[in-house]
Amino acid sequence: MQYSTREKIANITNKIIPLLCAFAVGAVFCLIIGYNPFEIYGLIIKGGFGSFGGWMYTLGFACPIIMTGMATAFSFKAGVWNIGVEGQLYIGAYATALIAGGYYGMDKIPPALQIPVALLGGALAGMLYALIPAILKAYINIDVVVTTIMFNYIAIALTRFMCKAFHQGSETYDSTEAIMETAVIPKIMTRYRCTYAIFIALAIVVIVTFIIYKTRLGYEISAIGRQFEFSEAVGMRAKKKIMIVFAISGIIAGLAGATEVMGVNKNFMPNFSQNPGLGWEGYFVAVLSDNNPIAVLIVAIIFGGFRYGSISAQSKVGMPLDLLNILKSTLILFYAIRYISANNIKFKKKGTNWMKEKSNA
Amino acid sequence: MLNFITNLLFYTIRQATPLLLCTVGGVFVQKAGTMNFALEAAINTSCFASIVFTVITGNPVWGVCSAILSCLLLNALFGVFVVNCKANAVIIGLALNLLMQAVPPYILSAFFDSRGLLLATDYIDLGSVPVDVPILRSIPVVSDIFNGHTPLTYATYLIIAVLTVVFYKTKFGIYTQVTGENLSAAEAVGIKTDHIKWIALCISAVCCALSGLNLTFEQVGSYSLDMSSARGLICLSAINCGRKEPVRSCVYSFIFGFTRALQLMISNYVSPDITLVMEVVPYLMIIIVFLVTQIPEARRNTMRIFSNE
Repeated sequence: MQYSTREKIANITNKIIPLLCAFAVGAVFCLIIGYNPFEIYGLIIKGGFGSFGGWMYTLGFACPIIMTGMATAFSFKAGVWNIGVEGQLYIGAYATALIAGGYYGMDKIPPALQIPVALLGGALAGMLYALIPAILKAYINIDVVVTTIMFNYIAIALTRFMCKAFHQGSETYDSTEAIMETAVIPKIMTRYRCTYAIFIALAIVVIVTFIIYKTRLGYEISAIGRQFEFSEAVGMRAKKKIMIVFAISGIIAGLAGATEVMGVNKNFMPNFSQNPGLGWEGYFVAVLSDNNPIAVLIVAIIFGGFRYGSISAQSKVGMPLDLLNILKSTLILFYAIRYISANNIKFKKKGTNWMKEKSNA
Repeated sequence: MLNFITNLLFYTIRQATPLLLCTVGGVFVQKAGTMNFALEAAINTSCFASIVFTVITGNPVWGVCSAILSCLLLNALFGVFVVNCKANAVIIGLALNLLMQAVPPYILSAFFDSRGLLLATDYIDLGSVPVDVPILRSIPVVSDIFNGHTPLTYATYLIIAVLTVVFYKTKFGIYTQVTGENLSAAEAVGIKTDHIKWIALCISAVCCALSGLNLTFEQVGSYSLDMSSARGLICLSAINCGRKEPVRSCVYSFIFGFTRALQLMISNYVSPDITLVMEVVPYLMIIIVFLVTQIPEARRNTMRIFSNE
């Protein structure tokens, strides 16, 4: 798409204002408990992006966020709000942990096939779990935002129960058995968090970009997202497309859980994705990137950097990690408004409520 | 067995109270045409503010005031973004929910040396809260079920009655319904829809504050992380199932309260492992109720797809 200079200015302004607002709110929260906000922000950015090791950790933290962000953005693109990525991630991770952990005779799978089979299992489990709200939406018209959030809670409670009751491993804390050595996705460098799963994430970005911009399915999805009834009227089978969107979204979410289990944790813990959860991070990323796949990649890496940076800031000056979540949620709070639109850049009449008029457009 | 049933009904009333309060307030916002996901955040805010200010000042009265004020402030934030700036209500609602999940642990870990729990039992006497109603006391079974609840529980039913009358019989209630049915038509006949939405948000804020106060001051006496445990979302489901009508929505939230009570009661009799899976029951119940209420409507739909209002 071609943008005029005015539109570019408007776009950039609309992205910078929320950033400043969020940092201002974060600064207030820093000052409340007596930290210097600039010092904290400096530490976060330096920790995340200041060194080679920082970058490797950043990519490690970004890897699942790229995938969950992609899953969420893909469904947003079609106008269906799959907030249930968190739940699909849990189910995918659990299925992977069972396969790779050698439960139910799965340890007889030849070592070369273990990684692909486990990934496939995670993806399938995520897909099946995502299809439940999709069917409810397509055939019975139940509001998808509410059901997917409910299915998040169900998935978390269910996996915790299954893990404790049937598949408790030899660890003292709640977890499944550690996965087999041959099923571990190796780390790129042994010292850092980043595993080869980052290439899976990149492949997903490429594939989803291809689907959205180069295939008929992608075109139809964008059309359904913009005008649901019209798309159905011209014969795009919107119900079926909703199911497909949810299936793909669930596959990506399941893969995110699978790589997290096979690469980083090496077993399934009932609380492996918390505060606020990888699925919610994906939601943040998808909202902030306007459902554009490349922007998802960039924002997810930035978020990964923030996460690692705030962990290092926590260890250095004792800043609570929750500051990061406050920053992120205020960021999307302010990002949801359009402050200025292209038509309005030169002539800002005094006395009119320009903010309200233009955000309607 | 009779003991079990009376206990179950007693706990149903107890568990339904916060849900009912939140639902009957939320109906107004929902009916005015705004998807209010921030109900969850409002309950959380109320719980947190009431306990924190009670601990700071040592006086529960300040806790009550701050709970109501902070809920009004939160809904004002929602109103500024959604009503005045026309942002997407779902994004704002979820953002506020996530914000209110992050702020309490931040404040708690900074000032109170504990990330997830703040006790206020020194200032709140939970034992003196239940009311002994003289008329009910002497009736055998009824007394077990209906007597000995907290003042706010009895007040809840009064509030529901008042708000139902407001909803159906007053000018404001009618205007709210019109605003939700057709925004542009309402504006065309001269209704100030923004004002209506703001008043609805204020009602919802006070109701959510009371709902949080019921949880903290009358049931638990402390704040713990994720204390609202999806109550706001449950209320939202109840409102949607009840087609945004106060009494019908309240019936559904009563059903959800019953489910939660059932879960708690059964947890006393089974092994801890089963207790874990029982946590799923309230959420599953919502899905089931959605199915039951929506299938007839889906059958009635004559178009090939569902039109989204």
